[in-house]
Amino acid sequence: MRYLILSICVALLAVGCKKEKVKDPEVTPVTPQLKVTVQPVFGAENLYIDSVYTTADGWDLQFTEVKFYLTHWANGANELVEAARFDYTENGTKCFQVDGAVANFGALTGNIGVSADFNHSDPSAFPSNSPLNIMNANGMHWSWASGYIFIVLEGRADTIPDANPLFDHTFTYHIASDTYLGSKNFPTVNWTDAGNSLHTAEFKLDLQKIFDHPTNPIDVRSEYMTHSGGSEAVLTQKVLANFLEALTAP
Amino acid sequence: MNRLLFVILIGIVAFQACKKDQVGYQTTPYELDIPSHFPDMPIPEDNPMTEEGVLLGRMLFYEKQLSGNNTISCGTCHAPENAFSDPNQFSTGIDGIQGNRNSMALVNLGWQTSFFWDGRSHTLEEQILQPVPNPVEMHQSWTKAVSKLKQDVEYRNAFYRAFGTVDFDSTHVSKALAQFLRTMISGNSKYDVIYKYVNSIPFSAQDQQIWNTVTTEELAGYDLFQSLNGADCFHCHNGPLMQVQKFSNNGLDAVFTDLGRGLITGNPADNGKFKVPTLRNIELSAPYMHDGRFQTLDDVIEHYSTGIHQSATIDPLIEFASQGGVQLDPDQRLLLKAFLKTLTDYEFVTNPNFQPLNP
Repeated sequence: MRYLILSICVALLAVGCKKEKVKDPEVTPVTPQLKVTVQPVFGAENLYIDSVYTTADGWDLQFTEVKFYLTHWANGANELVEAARFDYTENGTKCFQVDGAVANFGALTGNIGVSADFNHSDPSAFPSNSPLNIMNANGMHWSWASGYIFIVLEGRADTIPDANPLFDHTFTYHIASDTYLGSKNFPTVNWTDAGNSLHTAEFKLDLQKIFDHPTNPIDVRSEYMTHSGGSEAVLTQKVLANFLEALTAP
Repeated sequence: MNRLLFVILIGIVAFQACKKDQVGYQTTPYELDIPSHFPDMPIPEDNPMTEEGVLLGRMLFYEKQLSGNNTISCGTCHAPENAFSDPNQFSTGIDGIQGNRNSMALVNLGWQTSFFWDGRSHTLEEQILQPVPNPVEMHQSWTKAVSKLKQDVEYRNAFYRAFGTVDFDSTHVSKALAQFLRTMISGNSKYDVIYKYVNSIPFSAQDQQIWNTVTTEELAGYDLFQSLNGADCFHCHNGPLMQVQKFSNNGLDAVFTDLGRGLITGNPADNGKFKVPTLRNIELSAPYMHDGRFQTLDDVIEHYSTGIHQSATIDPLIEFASQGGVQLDPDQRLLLKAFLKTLTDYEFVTNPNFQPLNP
């Protein structure tokens, strides 16, 4: 009996002291990711916020904000991203980075702007990490049911040909409302292997093309403001059309 | 035999007991009362909200021992009766020195992404560390401030209950104050009901009661506030927080005496820019602007109407700057002011949970 009890106790102690087996290191499968960046340019040169660029008309421009939303970018049935927000001043060229295999996204189609299924929702109700959450919209929601501002181009313009370096007026192009939801089709997207299962695609946004469009130019001297209101339809449509042309895939 | 068995069993029990974690202090999670039309509040992982932390933060907010001569607390320059701001243009520190900026109203701080008029702090915890050692404010080293608190048994107990230590330091003070400040949520004004209405967010019974008191003048003022050809305020002041998170030069000066954000970034393009403040409780938080230059809402409306100064960094959203402002007529000014007063949240400014524990 004594030996039996002693044996049980020793067994219990042994169990209590038993170390966990050393496991072989787990190999975590690497999830392939895709990163989209957008490089704003003005003609041949990269664009910098607050730097001065000159249009074909000879007007000086100084951009302070270049922002836009994109939604439902997909290749057929494969959705790459539901919603993303590009904000050059705040985030630089990074637009979004998501899980995805490069083989599935050799072409892309999607909206420039916020699709109607999201545009009229309570902006506080989106998850806190969603670019559509009011905290992340960074001024791109108008706080009433008309919804989000799809494209924001803001800056200053000098349209008086004098030696005075002070910019004489501002420009504000705010494209919004379901009527002006843009769509874009990129038949080919060339991804670059950045290593570690990451592929990147650097899109370009040539802001010179918005002002110096060959058939649809914008004269910032007189066409310097739209908030997509009813009386601003012509300029709004022009900014949207030129913006869509100005955005190109690698 | 029995003695041997007893010794062995005691040994086993003792051995098993040694494997357990140490028993620690116990905190109670604090549930924030976030209005339905607000986004979730981001809470730092290293400073979760607890009942004990919030209570300690409230004690500290009104604690004058944090100042060098025990005469002022956070609540001195952020007084409840002034919507947690200072009615003086500049606050006066313990040495009789005044700063050069107006004390900002404390409200909805949990959603802010920068702090101070120039945004020099990125977190609430970081911001809180600054006024105590600042020579023009509370002018006391943190070492001394913490030492004074440690002599008080009530604080030793409160810090232990909140953080499980009596060997606390400035980071614990900062965390507790941040927890308290995050509870100071304002989202129950007439404006909130207007916001819900225009965003098709369902009303509660209380919302409906408030909505029934909204006047036609207030709604007309709201239309002006939102109108591009009216007051054009909404670009910088919108959403549940009634602000956007940015820095802006709103045309106060042609030549800057205070570079504002430019002092922090060193970028000339940021000169003359300051944090866009919330308009919540604006009726109660005079004077206005970063330097408190305007005493009344009428002064502010006059500025945006005809007093805009052009400069190299003016915000493009001051869209009528080239005309000197939005040119509101006297009737429009009255309507706009009526709307601005809908931003007063009486429940917030009188909330007993934000008042001193022992007034």
